[in-house]
Amino acid sequence: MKFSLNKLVIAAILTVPAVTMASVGGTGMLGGRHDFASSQSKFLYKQVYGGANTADKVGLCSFCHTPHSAASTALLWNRGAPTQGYTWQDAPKTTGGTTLSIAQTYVGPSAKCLACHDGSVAVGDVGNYMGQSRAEVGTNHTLNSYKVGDRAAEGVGDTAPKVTKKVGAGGNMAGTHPVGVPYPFGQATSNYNGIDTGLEVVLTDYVAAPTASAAGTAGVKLYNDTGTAIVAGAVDAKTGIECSSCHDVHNKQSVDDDMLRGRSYGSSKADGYLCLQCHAKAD
Amino acid sequence: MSTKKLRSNIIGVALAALGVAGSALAADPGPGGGMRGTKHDFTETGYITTVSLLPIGLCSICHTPHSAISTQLLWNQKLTTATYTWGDTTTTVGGTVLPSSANLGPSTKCLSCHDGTVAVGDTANFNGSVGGVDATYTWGTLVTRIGGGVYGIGTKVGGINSLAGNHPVAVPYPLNGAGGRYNNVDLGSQVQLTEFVPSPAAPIKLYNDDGSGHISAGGVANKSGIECTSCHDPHNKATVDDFFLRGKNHGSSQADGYICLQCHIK
Repeated sequence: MKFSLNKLVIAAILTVPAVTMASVGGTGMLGGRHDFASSQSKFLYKQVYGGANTADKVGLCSFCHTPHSAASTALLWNRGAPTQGYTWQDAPKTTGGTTLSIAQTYVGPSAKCLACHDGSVAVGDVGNYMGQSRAEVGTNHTLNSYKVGDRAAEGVGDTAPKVTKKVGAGGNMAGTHPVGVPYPFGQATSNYNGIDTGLEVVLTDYVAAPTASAAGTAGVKLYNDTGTAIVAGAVDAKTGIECSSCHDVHNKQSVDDDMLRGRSYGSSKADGYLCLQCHAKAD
Repeated sequence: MSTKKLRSNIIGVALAALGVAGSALAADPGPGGGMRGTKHDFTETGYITTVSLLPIGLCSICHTPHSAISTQLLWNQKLTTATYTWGDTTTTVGGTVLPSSANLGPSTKCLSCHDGTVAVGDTANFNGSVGGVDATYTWGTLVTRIGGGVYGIGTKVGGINSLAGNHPVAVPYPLNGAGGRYNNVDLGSQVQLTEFVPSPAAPIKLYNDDGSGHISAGGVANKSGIECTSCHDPHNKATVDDFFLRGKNHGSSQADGYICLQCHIK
């Protein structure tokens, strides 16, 4: 193959912006993007409970979980349900015909992610802390007033708009990978979240049994829909994906930045590239 | 100068400057072997590597899981704004009007690189940094404009914004020998319906237009059409010949897989 120089215009490297890493994959929550408590937290400037810039006033887990009086036994959730449902407003379906929709009442884990990541409530708007419920102390019982999408806390020197961390604002998921949808586990159709695999989905374009994510191992986490609950693990004909299929919010099973269960770069499944853990496109 | 030679020279100079070791280049897997190593592989080990030499994902040049330009195909590449003309004609011989845009269809996304108006590396979003819908964002990615030559689809004849000399795309297909409307274009009244295969077999890929401009996979009565991706699979999965073709580039019958005859009865 000949390929002459005048058909290629390769620009010089102008400026490579400084790389800012707010978290390192697999190192746990401390110092990461979900650390709202420790002295390493980047969000203490918005701390309300105990005062701004004071560390360890709230437990690391309390922003999402509580051992008692939880909003749901599943995940012992300490936060409110979404204030809205979610649709992909520029596309009701994927090109393969799979419907895209997450109802406000959806019980899968993605609803819990989105309730915060849509930017509608502050990360510190918890249900219960230190023996007091939100109802008892009123709506000002906000531990930390940071909302997803606020810019200043999301990385030292990182001044670019951080809309990537804000997902589902106003209930609009346009531009985001489907979640709460079936996965063609075993290269067969599934029903999940009340949605069937689209008729035009090319089943052989998906890895039949993706590698399970584990500490130090690139992979993904699949879920199944029992009809009343979403639980971990793939099951024939009722397997699906959630935000947490690709992200480990506790940053334990992640192997790359952004709490990713696979690497954000690469060109094969074997080298751990996240997308190719499910999408059989490389080989 | 061969491509590999050119590439290795570029990389060699850059690597020498940085004092780092290079990665082995992935071999082209051939038709049907997937993307890795093909001309659509822009990773560290790919066909043309990034200007910055920073690693990217195989999917990232075109797709992103968040902040995509469109949910359909989770598109990550700046879209062309060109409107096209077709050189010496405005309709096919059968009277089908040749469109000035593929609008929301996949061909627009192909042309965003292949018409030469947008650089390959003009991605909207990569590695947590957001360039936005109209980004000319090159960090970690590639800046190579495809203009002219066999890959410069929109520019080969007649210059920028000309699709002169190209097979129609984003036009209706007479599925089951019937007319239809697709991409706001009606099938021409003089089209010889019996000269088209009623329902072309996979891996040829027909599309349908729901009337609002949303293009989905699969033929549907009276609203089917064709796109670049009807004949080409840019991921090199459903391909059986070079140029990402879904049929053979040579042959003399539909049965032997010759691509033209998968649709045209001649």
